[in-house]
Amino acid sequence: MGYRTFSVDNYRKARRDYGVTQSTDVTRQAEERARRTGHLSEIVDPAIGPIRFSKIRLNPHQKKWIATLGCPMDIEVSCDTTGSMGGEVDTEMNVLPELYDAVAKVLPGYDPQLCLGIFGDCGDDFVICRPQFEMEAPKIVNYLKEMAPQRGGRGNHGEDPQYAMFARAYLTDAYTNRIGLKGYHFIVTDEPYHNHLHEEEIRRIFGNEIFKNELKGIHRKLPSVKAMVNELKQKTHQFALVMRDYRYGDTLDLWRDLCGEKSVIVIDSTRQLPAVISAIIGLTEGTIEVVGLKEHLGKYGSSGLIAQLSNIDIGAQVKLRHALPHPVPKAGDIFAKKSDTWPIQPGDSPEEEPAETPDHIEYL
Amino acid sequence: MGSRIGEAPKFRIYLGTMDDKQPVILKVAKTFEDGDILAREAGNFNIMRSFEEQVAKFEADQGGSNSHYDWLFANLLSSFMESTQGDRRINVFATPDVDLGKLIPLTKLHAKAEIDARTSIWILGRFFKFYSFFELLAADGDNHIARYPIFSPDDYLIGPERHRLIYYNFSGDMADVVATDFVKATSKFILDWVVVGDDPAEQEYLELLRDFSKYGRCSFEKAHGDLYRLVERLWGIQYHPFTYRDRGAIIWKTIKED
Repeated sequence: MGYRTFSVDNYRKARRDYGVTQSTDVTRQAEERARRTGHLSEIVDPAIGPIRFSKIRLNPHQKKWIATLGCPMDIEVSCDTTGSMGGEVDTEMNVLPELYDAVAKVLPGYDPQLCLGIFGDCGDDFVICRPQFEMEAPKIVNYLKEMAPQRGGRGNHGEDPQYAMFARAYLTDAYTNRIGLKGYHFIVTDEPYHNHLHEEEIRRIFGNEIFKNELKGIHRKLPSVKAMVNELKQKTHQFALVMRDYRYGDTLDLWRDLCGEKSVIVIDSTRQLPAVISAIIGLTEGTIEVVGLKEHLGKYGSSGLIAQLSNIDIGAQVKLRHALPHPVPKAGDIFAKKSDTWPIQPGDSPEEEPAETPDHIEYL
Repeated sequence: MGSRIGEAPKFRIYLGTMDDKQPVILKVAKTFEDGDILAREAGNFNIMRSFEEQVAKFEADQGGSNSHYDWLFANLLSSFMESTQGDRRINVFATPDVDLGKLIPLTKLHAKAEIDARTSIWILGRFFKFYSFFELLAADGDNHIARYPIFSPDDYLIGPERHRLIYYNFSGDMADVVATDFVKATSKFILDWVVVGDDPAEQEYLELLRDFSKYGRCSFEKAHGDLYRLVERLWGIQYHPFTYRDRGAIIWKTIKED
């Protein structure tokens, strides 16, 4: 129920159970199905229940609610799967245990929740796949195998990751944001972005009703890509991880203009993602020291990568934690109501409210 | 933590020792918010260290001599926020290959004593070598250091015995005197410090100093080359003990390596 986290044993079992035993072509069946039906699997389709949730896990406890794990930490990675990056879901699947393990180590006391998505180009049938934030191996393995990378890209000087960023900025309900912290958002790509957000594309990606419901009112004045990224940065520590062999000469400059120099990191391979993502999170959270980067990165610890990571906003999350009115919730904290933002604090005398039955508390 | 040896607007500097008795310098932010500049400083020192290691490895692989850029700046051992101190950031430094007890803040020595011409040469040479390291760093596409260090004598420790000049403050929070034209700025600093005699060789060196301070050079490599070509011709490249006299005094004294 509310206690389960990722484990390597569960990951291996899930791959066997779902028949994902090869290290390549893990999405072949889902791609064929998407082509045949014209629809994505609903667990990765951004139009099906467009809001993604990252919540604190609570169980009933003596007519109140107890946090079974610590504060959730939402980590979203959206990976380019066009052109030469077409096989990146295979990589994500293969590095998943390493990724979860690495981020869990730098987030002691937190409940890391992973949303590993993909993006392509608006010229493709499907622009993004975006699953829920999950923390259990079977669910993550399941959603990864359901992705439908388009592998095209159209050769039109860029892709459309801005819609994946838009989703985190406007279509995500994260506990971190409720209490005043930020989650993490990573774009992994070898191309620039297209500098526009179109209403019709947003409808195509997130559903025809999106402006009547979740984004009610926003279509009257869609934000610019820059304004959208500013919004994203209000909610996440946001980074673009750009492949060293990027396709167009202006790729890096465009990303730096959009996200800021400190938020763009050049990587050699997506095999580096666990080490790089956990290093960024560790530095931001203050759980790894800048002088420990070389050891943390291990075989990937080149002078250039260390230099780039040394330049990020070190301790940024610590600053946010410092400004919170209460300590970050931890496992064992008691909440008076399931909908409360903060657990009961010393000195509080909350009114008692009956807990819901266990049948009603399983979410995520 | 030991005695306080300095203070800047946003942090205090202490001497201390590690568990293994290694002497260290600690910079302690005055407030949680003041820790920001120490965090940035830590990032910059980490970039310098990892690049220096890359250069040293390259030189070793090529069978060349070690440039020992590591002797030109303090070694950041740790940078952390101390939860028992309101999450104030603390940067911990050691000084490579030299006893911390044999180092003096450069501005303190400058205020107390004058130096002779040949002593000034190695100090100026160390400045040039340090900034040439940044030229190398800037030329390396992967190493985007946040910024060049500003020149301020407050940011250096000097080890007269072993001819060390050690950069130990990248916070930008101690600078009373700043400059961005480093060849001119460092030469002016030396001109203000050195006592040059009537000896023709020293006069020729003085001319070079004036030329540096007026026109600068297109690179530190060039300035370093101009300096040492002249020195080799005038005196030869050899050890010269640190030679100084207290300001207002007439007796010259020397400090030699043990």
